[in-house]
Amino acid sequence: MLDVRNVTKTFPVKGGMFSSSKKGVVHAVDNVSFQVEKGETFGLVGESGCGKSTLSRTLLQLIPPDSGEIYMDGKNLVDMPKKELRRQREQMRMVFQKPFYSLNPRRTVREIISAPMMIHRHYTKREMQAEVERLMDLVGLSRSYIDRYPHEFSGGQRQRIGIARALCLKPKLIICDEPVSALDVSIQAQILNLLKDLQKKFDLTYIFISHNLSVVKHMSDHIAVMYLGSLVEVAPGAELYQKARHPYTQALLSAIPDPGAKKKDRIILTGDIPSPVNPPKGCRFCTRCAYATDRCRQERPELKEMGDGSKVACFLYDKGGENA
Amino acid sequence: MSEPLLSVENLTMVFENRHQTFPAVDNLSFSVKSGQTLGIVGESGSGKTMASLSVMKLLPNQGRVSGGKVMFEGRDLVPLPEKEIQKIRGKEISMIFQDPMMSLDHVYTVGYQIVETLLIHEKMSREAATEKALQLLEAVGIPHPKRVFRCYPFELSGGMCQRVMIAIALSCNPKLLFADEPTTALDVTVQAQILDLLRQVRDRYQMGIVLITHDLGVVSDIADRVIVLYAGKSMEDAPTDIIMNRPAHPYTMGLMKSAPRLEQQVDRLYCIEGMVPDIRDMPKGCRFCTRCPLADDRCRAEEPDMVEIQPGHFVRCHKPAVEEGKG
Repeated sequence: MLDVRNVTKTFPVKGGMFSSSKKGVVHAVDNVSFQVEKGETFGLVGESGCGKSTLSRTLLQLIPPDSGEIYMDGKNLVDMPKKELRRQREQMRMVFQKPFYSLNPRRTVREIISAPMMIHRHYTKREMQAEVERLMDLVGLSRSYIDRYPHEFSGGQRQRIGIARALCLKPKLIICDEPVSALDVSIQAQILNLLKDLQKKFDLTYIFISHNLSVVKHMSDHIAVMYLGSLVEVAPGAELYQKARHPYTQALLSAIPDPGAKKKDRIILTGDIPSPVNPPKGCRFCTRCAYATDRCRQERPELKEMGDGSKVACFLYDKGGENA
Repeated sequence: MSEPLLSVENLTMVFENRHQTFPAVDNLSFSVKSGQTLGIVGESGSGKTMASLSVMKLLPNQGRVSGGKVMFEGRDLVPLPEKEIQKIRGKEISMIFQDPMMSLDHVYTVGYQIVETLLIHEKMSREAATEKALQLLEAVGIPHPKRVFRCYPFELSGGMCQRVMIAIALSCNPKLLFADEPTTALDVTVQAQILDLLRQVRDRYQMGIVLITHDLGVVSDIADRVIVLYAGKSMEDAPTDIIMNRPAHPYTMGLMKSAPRLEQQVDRLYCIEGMVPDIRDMPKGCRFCTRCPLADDRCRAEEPDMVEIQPGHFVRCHKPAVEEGKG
């Protein structure tokens, strides 16, 4: 349904306010390709600064990519005329991270949820009212809240408003950018269940972005792990957890403290993510990787099919063998 | 060693305006020994931060400790005047905060901020303090201490800033460290680094740590004992592995079940319906009765007491799950 091919996005870094010289470029998204099937949830995990939000915004053409193609239902969204793109965007919606900032504080719930209808189609007032009420029922908000403002709601309720707005106009694809990271665990569970229910009901496709691997694993059919702008591993959810192949995925999995689980030996990564302005030559992960060789420092590994539905970008698996 | 380093008894902390008082922390008791880590877990609004600020006497203006004792090495901190507290705070008891970027001062270098703490609390020349600061930076695992010493906080990453915060907190060899959500703003791999560092310094200096967090995973990783707070009251208080494997309070069980886990795949997550009650409108009876699946008339009318259901395992519930925690 969604086919992303070699998408790259860089941002120039200027020397300073008064200098016109370019200092460098930030490689926010670097040659990323993946496919999303209809009705599935595609999870995207990575630490802060790895480019997952930039990637999600390029999918919607909110940030146009430098190069690459994005096909939605066979139509390339890149370089699509604006009018057509706008129609296409009815199908692709977004739920944002911070429910506190993504809702206009001066609009009522009614105005927020119905805004997409005002923009995209001509509805009568009565139709709009009925639609907003239907959506509020769907996401579990009381109809009596229709004329309230966002500040009157708790974080979880605000996220429900955001979801209702995304559902308006019956989209096919919803991009959830860290939808639960600002919420408490008990509220997080409510929202995750809601998203799953809605998916079943309307046969929605999700792209689910989070830094929390347990949440992504709970939600997703396929998971892509992103590091410094590139995908390092793409695999079915259960597969990824049981046999994480890329050293970064292994470290990421072992870093998660899991309540109730037996104490395990941690792989503790040293250092921070390198700056995306000067990413390391060769494999992006080589500076923190325990298995890095000279080849890793010189050459970039590509995402390679492993034969069981997973793809890994790592020289350790070059011969298809099970090293590491 | 068996004497607790810090023991808080029946601490009550209230917010008040001209007309009313609202208890944010209600009758909380806990104690920490040297070399031990106590985890305080709760959702937002459960009063966990206010509890720690009460101990440090850093409460906001509208807040006040209205009852209870905070015994630190045999001295009650509650009635102490600000001047005396200042001698203890930062020296004997230190604190690290949630957002490392925000809690460092942006206009001073990292080095200056560490040296400042040393000069206030220890009799030491500036040169000696600088030397000590460099040692501290090295001790918390910062790669180039000399370079970082001259950096401003905005030049460092979140993980680095948290290391600097820990260096400042450790500068006067405190006996007790309050860590308020020390890893919440950090990525998982960096979080693992910081937790590892905290464990190291705890063991090296035999410090007591009070770790405040909403993340049960973090607590299971580092704490010896856990207190679960809900709406200002402790709900359950037990050694970590009991809380993790055999919780007895329905709230603790709900929390454990509602977090997605890596090993198991469930179709639907268990969820605790509803929201934390408003501080101005607490339910009568048990605080959790509005969201509890087991609540009955007694729970709604009568507040349960903290009961020791097993040695060392305290629960505030009329219907605690005994035996294997299945309820």
